[in-house]
Amino acid sequence: MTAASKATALGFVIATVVAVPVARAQLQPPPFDAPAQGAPAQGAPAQGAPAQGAPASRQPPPAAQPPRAAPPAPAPPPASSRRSQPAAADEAAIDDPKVSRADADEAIDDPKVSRRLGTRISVPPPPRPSAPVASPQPAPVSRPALAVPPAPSPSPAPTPPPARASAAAPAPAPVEAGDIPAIERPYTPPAETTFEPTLPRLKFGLRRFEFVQLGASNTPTGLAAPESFNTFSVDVYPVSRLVRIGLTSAFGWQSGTWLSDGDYFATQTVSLGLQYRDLGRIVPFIEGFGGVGYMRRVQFERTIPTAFWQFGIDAGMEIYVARVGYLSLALGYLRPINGFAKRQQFTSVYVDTWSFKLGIGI
Amino acid sequence: MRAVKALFVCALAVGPAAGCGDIDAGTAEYPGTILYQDPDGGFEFRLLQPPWLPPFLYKFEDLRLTFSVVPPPDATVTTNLDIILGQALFSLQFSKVGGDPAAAIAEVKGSLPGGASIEPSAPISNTSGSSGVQMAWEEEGEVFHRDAFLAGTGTPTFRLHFTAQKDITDDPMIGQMISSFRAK
Repeated sequence: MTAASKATALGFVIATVVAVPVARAQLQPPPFDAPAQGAPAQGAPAQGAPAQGAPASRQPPPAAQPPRAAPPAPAPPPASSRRSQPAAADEAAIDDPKVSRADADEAIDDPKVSRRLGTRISVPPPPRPSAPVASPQPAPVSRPALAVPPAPSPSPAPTPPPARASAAAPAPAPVEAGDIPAIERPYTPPAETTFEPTLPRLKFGLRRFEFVQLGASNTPTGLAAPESFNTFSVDVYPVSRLVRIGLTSAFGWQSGTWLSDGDYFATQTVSLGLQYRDLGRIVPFIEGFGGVGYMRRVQFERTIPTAFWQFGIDAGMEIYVARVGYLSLALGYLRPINGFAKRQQFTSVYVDTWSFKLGIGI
Repeated sequence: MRAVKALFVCALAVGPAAGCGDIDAGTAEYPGTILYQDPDGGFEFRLLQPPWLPPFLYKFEDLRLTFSVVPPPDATVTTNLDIILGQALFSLQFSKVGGDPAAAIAEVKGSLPGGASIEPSAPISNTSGSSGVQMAWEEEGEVFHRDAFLAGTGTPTFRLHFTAQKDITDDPMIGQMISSFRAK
């Protein structure tokens, strides 16, 4: 062996002895409690690396760093991450290439965090959302699927707008303008909201009908003298749908008189009728009713208690002025019956008459 | 809902039971009244009973009077005719008079006291064939009278003398009793 080869071998050994600790020092995690400045790291002096030269000498070798197409975006912390916000900031500082490695080492001062982080790795950034996603079997034309095939004509004739919007409206016709699919819809004016009245629940009514005055006659023929009654009633409809059931409490008095010197009656009536609500503000109805009550007759200055009952049928309409308020008009055919004692037997008289009823209710 | 159903069922049950009425007051004559016939067969008429009491006959020697009254609610129960007529709200007295109705009413007018307020007489007739005249007059002390003199074909003239505590000149109930009178 020549002197030159001996010198070369010696140089190789020296270089190996010097280079291996340096490389190991660079691959090991940073010291836990390195001083802020000037103080050598605990592990570093053993390796012979000066603290001041750490920023330059600790840079990972280019071969160990995966290439980056773009600066890595800071990954969002997981929801279950137990790292504190400063630790995340430290990690961000490490990821930033402009930040020196020494600053990053100073920032990570928690040994547990440092052990958890371990060796830095670089995760490639996620694909940008603007870039088209390559499907396994890409369609020849990326176009949204349409439920209705496009019309053969490029400019289809517009369909006439329907009178009212409904579920049977024509399907929209797609029209292509360049590469952007467009959907053409016929104009449909907003449908008018139909007036839906609240069917009657309560009504205050005034009815007028003709009856007879018993034992009185104005003509030689002996026909009973007519006697007009006005009736105030309160109608309650516990059932009010297509079929309505009503309870009516009524008080009637002889027209032109009042309680002191005239006839009057009080009745309780049940009614059963039909009504139709789909005509907007007008709700026509027809109902039959029957009721019983008491009638006071004043005959020859004497009060005669008698019975009173009635049957009838009303046909009319409720005219709604609001959703829950209405006026009521009804024409009725009425049979009022007055029962009384004649001598010692009970008898009754009746008339068949028309009646007219006005009302207001909710 | 159960109350409504119960009321409805009751109405349906009571309705047919009570009936739709016995007498059509729109066409029947004197509906609701009863027919009184004189026991001697001299006349008949209709009245409401109640409030009218059944007519009763008062005989005194040759005098023969038929009375009926509407007593007040607090009437005294007695057979004294003066008390009964004095308390009555309405009273009716039937009697036979001589002559035709016109002569009879003239005779009555002549016998009235001077202070009486007499309404002019008016002819009356009815479907039973009786006809005559009537007048109304007011006695002192707010006692009102109405007299009708009726006679049928070949019948004597009857005087219907009403007395009341109110003006009964145009009272339809009194008019109904007059128009229902028929002399036999």
